[in-house]
Amino acid sequence: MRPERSLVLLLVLAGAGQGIFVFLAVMDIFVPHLIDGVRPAVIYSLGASSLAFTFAGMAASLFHLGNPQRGWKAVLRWQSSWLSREAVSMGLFSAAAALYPLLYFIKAPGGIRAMVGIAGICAAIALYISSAMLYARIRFIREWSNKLTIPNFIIFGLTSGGAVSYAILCLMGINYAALREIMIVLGAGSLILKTFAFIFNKNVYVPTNIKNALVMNDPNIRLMSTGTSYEHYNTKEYSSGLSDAQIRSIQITSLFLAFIIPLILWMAVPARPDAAKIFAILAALSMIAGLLIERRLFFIEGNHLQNLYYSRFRGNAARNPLLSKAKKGTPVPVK
Amino acid sequence: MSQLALVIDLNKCVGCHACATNCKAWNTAGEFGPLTDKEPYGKQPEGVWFNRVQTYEVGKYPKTEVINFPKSCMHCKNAPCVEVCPTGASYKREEDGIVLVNYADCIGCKYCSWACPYGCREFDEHDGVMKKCVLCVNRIYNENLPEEERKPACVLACPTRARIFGDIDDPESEASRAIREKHGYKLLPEAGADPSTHYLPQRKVKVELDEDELYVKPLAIVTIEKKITSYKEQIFDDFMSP
Ligand code: SF4
Ligand code: SF4
Ligand code: SF4
Repeated sequence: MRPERSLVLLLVLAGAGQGIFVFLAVMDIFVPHLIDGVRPAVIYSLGASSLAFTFAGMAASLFHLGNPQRGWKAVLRWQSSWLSREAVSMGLFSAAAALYPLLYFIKAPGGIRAMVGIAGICAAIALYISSAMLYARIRFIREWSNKLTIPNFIIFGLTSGGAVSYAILCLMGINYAALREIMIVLGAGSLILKTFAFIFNKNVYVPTNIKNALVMNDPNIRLMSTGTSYEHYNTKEYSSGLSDAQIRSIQITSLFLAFIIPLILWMAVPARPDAAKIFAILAALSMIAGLLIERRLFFIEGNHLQNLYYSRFRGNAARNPLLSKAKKGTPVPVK
Repeated sequence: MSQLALVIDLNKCVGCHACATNCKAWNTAGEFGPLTDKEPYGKQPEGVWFNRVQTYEVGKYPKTEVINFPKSCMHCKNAPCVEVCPTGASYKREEDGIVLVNYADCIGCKYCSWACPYGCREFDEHDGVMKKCVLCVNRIYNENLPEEERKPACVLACPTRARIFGDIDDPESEASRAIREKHGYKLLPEAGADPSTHYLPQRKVKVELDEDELYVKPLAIVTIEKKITSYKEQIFDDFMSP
């Protein structure tokens, strides 16, 4: 698929915004002693950055729409559409994320704040799941429609949110050892998941080809004309136009920037607070930059079935001759 | 229940693009238009079409054939584009199974086009909404048109009658009969959309002659050739004579 900048920004920024809120609410509600003494600073700084990230993502997503002025209508079909569910949970989440610091500011009872916090965590998880299902729902794009997509959205979102939270706390001179350890675990989890995703995508086998698409039993079918105009929506929207070698270099860059470098930085965070600050900020920056590339890659790797008709389908044999040969006799249905 | 649909005979299609151009002409001027173009008279024109004829070459030289392959929305029975639309702008009509987009509700999120396995939806960048074949819903029930013209524009335009329009849920319709008798098939059934448009396969056309027919044939050719020669000579004579 063609990677669209506004969607890449939406997924990375809103994902991190949700992650920041989850970290804030979990720390404040479940391990309150952790932030005793610095509670206002933590709630305001993390609350504000969670909102800033989420709204930046939402603003970016408006550029994707052809008619953003009626974008609110996206909430109407939540019974059937995952995009609609994403919009609804986005609304619920941002309401909770805005309310949370406000409740602290007006000194509302802790119980109410905890309820809003837990509702916010649930909305954040619902938002991760519906964003992921939006892609996973398209069953014939196997790179999107697999068991790794939901964990991918949840863990990358939490890790990037955690990375930003940790950097902000370090910046304020609060260097929690516990948080650093959580980041190392999450970072390692992301790295493992991403590696699995690479292996899956490399070996993904879509049991179809242009012969099926046209229902014509001849091994030699060549596209001669895509119909009337020079290029059109269907020749442009569904492929990135990048070669396999280019895709591989993007994969490696994203793997290093988003996962390996932050992980090394977190493991090496020194005890001195001013040095720790630099490590944590660098880790967060590297992670966000890497995730921007990784989300772009998520689109690039998506191989849409309609590309068969335009000979832009990234063939199975080209990607993994051994595997496609082995599995040739046993096609699995796409649905 | 009925399901209106097109049945496209690949054996008859000659790739003249008449269906595509007539579709564009009718719909760009009608209530589902305009179908915006970018640089229509430039070197690299782009624009929205509801119907496109693609061309493929099949086989190895010198034994190749050309397949002309018209493709427009299949008005799927289990339309994934409808299910994913967040606003309800994309919907499938109960009464005749036509899948339509309500431009006034469409926010231009393009999700429906991603969910379509066939690439039959085209985004109009100028209007910011998703567009696609409307099965000429504004012709087939149009009482201002004479009865025989209440058919899709592409069907009327086709010079070889490669396009049949009808209710595929009615076993007695012309469309259903063609599917049954001429081995009609659907595209990519494994994608699960259950398209309504059917294609009739391209068939090899062979003329089989018996021995005695072969015997007559050369004579005929000789006579025709002779006629042509004499005709040519005559023209030449006419031309040369003062
Ligand atoms: S062909 Fe595509 S656009 Fe048309 S109904 Fe089927 S899924 Fe929807
Ligand atoms: S582009 Fe329009 S019709 Fe398509 S899913 Fe979005 S709102 Fe619905
Ligand atoms: S049915 Fe109408 S809108 Fe659809 S392809 Fe034919 S002419 Fe175009």
